[in-house]
Order: sequence, then C-alpha cells, then structure tokens
Amino acid sequence: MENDLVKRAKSGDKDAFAKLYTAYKDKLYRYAYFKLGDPDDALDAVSECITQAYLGISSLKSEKAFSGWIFKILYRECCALQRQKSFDSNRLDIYELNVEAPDAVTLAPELKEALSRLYDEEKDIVLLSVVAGYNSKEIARMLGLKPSTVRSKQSRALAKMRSFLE
Amino acid sequence: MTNNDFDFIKQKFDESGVNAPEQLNEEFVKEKIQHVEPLKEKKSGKVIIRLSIAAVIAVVLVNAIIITGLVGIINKAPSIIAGMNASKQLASVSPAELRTFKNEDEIKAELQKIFDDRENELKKIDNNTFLGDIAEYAQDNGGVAKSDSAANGTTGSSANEFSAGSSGGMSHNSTYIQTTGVDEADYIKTDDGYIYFLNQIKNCIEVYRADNGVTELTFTINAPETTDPYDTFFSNFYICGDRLVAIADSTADYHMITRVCLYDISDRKNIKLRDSFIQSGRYCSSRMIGDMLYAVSTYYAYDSDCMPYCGGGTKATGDEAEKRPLPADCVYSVEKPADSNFLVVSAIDTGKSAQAVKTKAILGSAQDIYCSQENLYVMSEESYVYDESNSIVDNLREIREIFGREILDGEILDGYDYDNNVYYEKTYTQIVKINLTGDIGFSATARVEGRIDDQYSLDESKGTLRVATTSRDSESGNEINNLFVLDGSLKEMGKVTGFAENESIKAVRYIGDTAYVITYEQTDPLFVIDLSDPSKPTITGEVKISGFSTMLVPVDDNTLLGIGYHTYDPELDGDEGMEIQDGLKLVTFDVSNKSAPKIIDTKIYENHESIVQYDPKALLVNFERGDYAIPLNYRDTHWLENEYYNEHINVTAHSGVLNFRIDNGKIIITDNYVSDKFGRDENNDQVERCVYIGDYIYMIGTHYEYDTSIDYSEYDGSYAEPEIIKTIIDSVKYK
Repeated sequence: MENDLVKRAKSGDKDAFAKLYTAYKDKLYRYAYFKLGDPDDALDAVSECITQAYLGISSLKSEKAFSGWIFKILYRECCALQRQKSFDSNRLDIYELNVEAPDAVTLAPELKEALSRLYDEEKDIVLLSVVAGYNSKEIARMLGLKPSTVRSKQSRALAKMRSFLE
Repeated sequence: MTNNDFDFIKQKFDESGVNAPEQLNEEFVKEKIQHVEPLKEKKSGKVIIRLSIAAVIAVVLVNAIIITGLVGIINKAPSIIAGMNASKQLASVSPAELRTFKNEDEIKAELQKIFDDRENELKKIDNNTFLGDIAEYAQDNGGVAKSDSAANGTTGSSANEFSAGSSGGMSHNSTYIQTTGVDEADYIKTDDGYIYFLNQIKNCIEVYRADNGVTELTFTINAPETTDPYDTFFSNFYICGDRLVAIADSTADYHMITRVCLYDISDRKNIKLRDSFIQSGRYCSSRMIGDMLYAVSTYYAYDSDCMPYCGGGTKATGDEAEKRPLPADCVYSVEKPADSNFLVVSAIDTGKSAQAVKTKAILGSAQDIYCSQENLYVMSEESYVYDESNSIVDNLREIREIFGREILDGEILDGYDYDNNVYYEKTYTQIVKINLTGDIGFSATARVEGRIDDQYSLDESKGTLRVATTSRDSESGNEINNLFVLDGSLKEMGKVTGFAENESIKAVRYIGDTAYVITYEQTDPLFVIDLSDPSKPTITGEVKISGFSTMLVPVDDNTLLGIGYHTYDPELDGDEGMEIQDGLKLVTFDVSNKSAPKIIDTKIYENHESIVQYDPKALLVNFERGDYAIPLNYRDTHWLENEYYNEHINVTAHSGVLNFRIDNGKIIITDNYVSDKFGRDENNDQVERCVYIGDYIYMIGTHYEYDTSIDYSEYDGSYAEPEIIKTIIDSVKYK
C-alpha cells in the first residue's frame, strides 16, 4: 500500500503524495514540536518539509526508505529554522532564543520538561530514535558521531528522562 | 510497567497527545505542492551545487562557542565560500605564492578585506528564506560513517613501515601510524607494562599496570583546571619515554585554544604536570618526530583584532599575561584566503619543556594533516560553484534567484537542472606544505582539484607528493577520481584523472612506486596505479569485489589486506540502487602482478562492526607474532517492515576481539574471543580498542550509564549529574 503510494508519488501523482504525507503527519509534527518546542514553528517546519519532499521525491531510491527519508528532510528543516532564528535576532541573544516563550497552552509539558533537561545532542538523539525511528548507525551518520557514542548517549538520555518522568 | 527505557519513553511520546493540527490535511498538502513538480533525477549522475554562506554560519558558530562554551562539540567551521575571492577558472592543480606581512597592521588589513567581502555578500542575502536541502537524503544510504575528527583516518596504512616501539622488557604494541618515525597521537597508548587510556567521557587519562592479563589502576590524570568556566578536554596524547604529552581543547577568555600538557610519568603512581603551553584555535591534529611535537590548530578570527597567539607556563591557565601575539614575520597567507581562519603550527621540543621553539600561522584553515619525516602537509577543502560555461558563479544572489530560495551551507542539490542551466560545484583541496627540517617553514601552497579521503590519500616519495582525490566531472556531473603527482614546490608533474566514474575513493595506500586505490559505489574495485614515472601515472590493473575496504594494509610484497564493510542490495524486486552496509569484511588481494590484481580470500562477519572500519588506529599489529587483532562487536536486531525501525526489539549483542593472521594470502582466524565483561544487552558496552603487552591482548571500552538509583527530586539543575562512567578492561592470552 505505502510502497504503491510512493511509486505513484514519484511519478508525479499529487493525490498519492498527499495521502502518503498525511499518513505520517502526526509523527512528523510530533517530532518538529519537540525539536523546536513551539507549535507554530513546528507547523512551519512540517509545511516546508512538504514542498521539499515533493521536489526531491524522484531521488528516493527505495520505496521502503520513505519513512527514514522524510524524517531526514524534516530534521534539516528544523535545523534550518533554528539557524534562521538565531541569525535573525541579535547574535548575543542566541542563548535566550532557546528559551521558549510561554505558550498559552503547552502541550505535553512533562515531556518538554524532561527533554529540556537533556543536552542538545542528547535531545536530538532521543527524538531521532524514539520519534523518528532511526537506528544508532543512521543517527551517527546524521550527527557525525560514532554509533557506539550514539548508543551510550541515548541510553543515558533515556534513563535521565525516565527517572524524571517516573 | 515497561522494563525497557526506550519503550517507556516511546510510549510517553505516543501518548503525549501532540498531534498534527486539523489544518494539516490532504488539501493543505495538495495546496502546498500545487505549483511544484518533482525534480527529475539524472541517471546516476549527480549534478551538485554545494556552496556556502559560510560567513553567516561562521558568525553563528563563533558566537555559539563563546556563549555556550560547547568546546568539545563544535565542528570545524567550513571554509567554503562560494565564488568569493575566487579567480574565474581554476586549473586542476594551481600552485600559489605564499604571502608575507611586514607588520601587524598589514595582517589586520588583510583580515578586514575578508570581512568586507563577507559583509558585501551578506548584504545580498535576505535572511528570511533559509530552507533545507532537496535531495541529498536518498543518496547517503551507502555512505561510510566517517568521523569528523581530523586525526581519525579511514584508510590503509603501512604495517611494514611502522616503528616497533619496544625497548627491552615486555613487548607491546605502538599506535598504528602512517609514516615510519612519525608518531601519531591517540587515546590509548602502551609502554613497557602500562596501558594509558583516555576515558573521553570522564575526561581523564587512566594509567593501568598490566601484568599477565591482570590490570591495576595506578594513577588518574585529570584534565587541568582553567580560569574560564569551560573545561579543558583532553583530545589525545603521546607517550615519549618518561613523558606523557597530552593535547587538549580548551578556552581562554572565551576563545578556543589548544593546550599542550607535559607530564612526568617516571613514577607511574605519582604523575606530575611539569609544563604546559597554549596556542590559539581549535586543535586539529599533531605529529611527533623524536621529541619534537608539531601541533596544528585552526583559529577563527571574527574581527580584525584577532591575532593568533601562543603562551604558556607551568600554571598555563591561559591568563592574559601569558599570551604572546605572534610576530608579523611568523604570519603568512595563502594567495586567496577563503575565510578568516588561521592555521597555527607550533614546534615543541618536549624533551626540554612544553614551550614552543617556534609558532607560526597562515591564513587558511586546516582539516587534516599528513606528515612525512621532513614535511607537514595541511589540507582544507574549498568549494566553488560553476555555471554551464565553466565560469565560477561568484554571486550568491544570482544563485538564490535561480533556485528561488536560499542555499544552505554545504547543501547538496542533487540532479538539479534548471532551465537547462547546469550548475555544478568544484571542490578543491588547499594544501600548505610546511618544512620541518629547520625552523617551521611554510614552503609552498597549491590547490588540487577534488576532495581527499583522509591523510592516507597523500604520500611523499623521493621529493614528490602524490595526492589522490575525488572530484566531479564538469561535463557529466558524475563523481570521478584522480591522482596527481606534484613536485617539491607543489607544481603538477603528472596525473591520471577521471577513473572510476560514479564512485568515490574509500581507501588509498602507497607502496613505493605503486598506488593502490579503493573506490566504491556498489562494488569495490581495487585500482593499481604505477607511479614509477612521476609525469605519467598509469592505471595498470583493477579487480572488483562486493562491499568496500576502508583500510589497506600491506602484508608482504605481494599481498594487501583490505578491512571494511560488507554490503548487499536488500531489494528482491530488482529495484537497484539501495545498498545496505552491514557487517565487517576482510579481504586479501594478490598484487604480485600489477596488471592483474587478484582476490585471494574474504571473510565476512554479518551483523558485526568494528571501530577499525573508520579508525585505522584500532588495528593492532603484533610484529613478533606477525598477526593482527581488531575489536569485533556483534549485534543482531530485528527490524519491523513498514513500521518505524525499533532496534530495541530482540537485540542480541556481544563484544570481543578477532585475532587473525595472513598465511599465503589466506585469512586464518586464530581467535574470536567474546568477552563477558562487556555488555550483552541492548546498550552494550563495546570493545573500542585492543592493545597487547607480553602474551596478552587487552580490550578496553567505556561503560556509561545514568544512575537511576538517585532520587531525582533532589536534582537542582546543576551540571553535576549522577552518572556512572567506568572503563572496562578485559584480557585474553594469545593463542
């Protein structure tokens, strides 16, 4: 089913692409939300990811790779958004940028709090593995770390989050 | 209650109630892509545009360093600037004059020029359109996981050339190095009866007495304290008789510095810091010849007042008073510096003190180094964007208009053909040659087309420098590979270009007048290139094999050992192009006939991996026994089809060491030892390195966990978090 949608999307079928994308929308949005910490930013990233993914879909070599591929695009979109934000504002305020403005309604405050206790790199590793579903080798490639380092950081970060949440 | 942390946290996310808002539905998606059509994929060829607005990124990076002090995490700022400062057409090898300065004002003026250029570029950029990549993603499924660290190479080396190291007493190994007599820093070293291990997470060097398989911790060297709030992080170290020379990344007044610490280890139970030295910039790499240490760092100048400096003293806390700016006659520039990066080199006679005999700097950054006995070569990558008429595009706005959006630093646009205008990048490697025989003498620079794989891509022989690179063909946009032979002043003597189209170099090894080159796309050809006439390098033969080697080791005159990855194509329906890298592969080549190299033997370990696949220093060679050992980690995971991968399902793992020898080209496994001291569960502790002393192989790794037994309600948010970090050591007697 999904493979078929990917094939059709690759040949330029926009309906198929829309179906395919919406099948992933919750997971994609969830990733962006926890990565960026802001619902508006998350929507921006996920929307931009739509265009970029559709533009590049012919380069997707294997139908089965769609999930991993789409999350990589989103990961880059989120990083780009974060970089843009840092550049837009006063350079000296970078640190403060990471401190989010208080939302009217904060979704999943406990999880956000647990994530905020992690170093940025740990947070990336947790989101990429738990939400995006990458394995340690793939994360290692994306972050430029050794797979064993990713695994040790991941287990440490997960344990840290768990002890906070339990 | 779930037992597994991963599943526990995953459940929390799944149940978080964070879901896409209503508006994000199929209609929304269709509207978004209404006027967009997928980019056509070029057949196999990749037209690539890769340019950077390094200026923007660098500004952010530098501030990130200063503000957050994430010293250990910040990677090198890219020195690639599209078109800026570039001459219109670059030859495949273009030697250039080194420029000198009369006084500090001239250096400042040169820096100011770079900043002005950058400012002009920045003005052309609207900063509201940072968008991501298009199509790199599907391509990197076969890539080698490479370490960013400059010291970690990926390819072959010279077993027969390397220094035995032992001086009486118990025999022991020394670090696997590229050039005889030129030692390379590492995070584990051995000497007569002792193992020195830098536990990078604990940030300390542990000294173990090792006797007949039994180890005992005798001393722990902690990283020195600084006056800055940020820590000093040990990177790697040397053992030189009764001295331990450690090199660390650190900060002074919120600037990145490289710190050299000299320890007296004559009493292994009471090791003392004797002296220390700082030089500006982030540590890149180093080499040691005899007692003489050559340390290379890159110093990013973010305004024209930033002058490279050095300093030191036994306190060596980086205090202002200790810093000495380099005199103007010690500062040089390449002809057209791409960015305001200084490459700083110090020569330190560690037999006397940690103080530099000489420190010099040159505008131009450093990413990796290669060192012969006489010369140090520092390499860095630069990229330029060309249009279809082969002219450099030096206007970022023009590119942005063509693409309708901003291009990110390092972005690769794959298969992009806009209105039939083909744009492509050309990457050059800037090489700076530094003579080590007298003073540190910057003697030549050149730009060579293409990028280098790692330090093993370069080799100096009989006054010539051989450089193997991967570049892109300007006609087809496909990756091609080249080998250049340069003379003493880095002028081109000869070359062979354009071989192995659509593949890239994974390993290079030079033996005398022959180069052996491994390239990879889906198979792993070994090319044999005859260099006996430097003006006419010639490919004499090749042989293909599946998978690829990342390291080539000469076994004897006729045999090469390749260590690398096993790969396979998982597609059953004939949909080609998706190669999966899984497992370790050992292969031996018969190279006795240069025109017809042959495969003698292969050994494949599916579901295994080893650090040696990306770090040649993890190869343990025992010359007395004439055999090899590598860390070997097993891990089997069951992935769910069409569901998010969850490697935590049914994982079996263990770790140990593989001991083997090569007998007439056949790979004979002597021992495949599985350690019970390393974890067998999901987040298993792996053997990172193995060393030998006497008759025993010692395996070392790091165990890292968060101490969940501690009551988190007391957690005050400070950085001192409860962690359990242990060094794990196991040993096995040679069979």
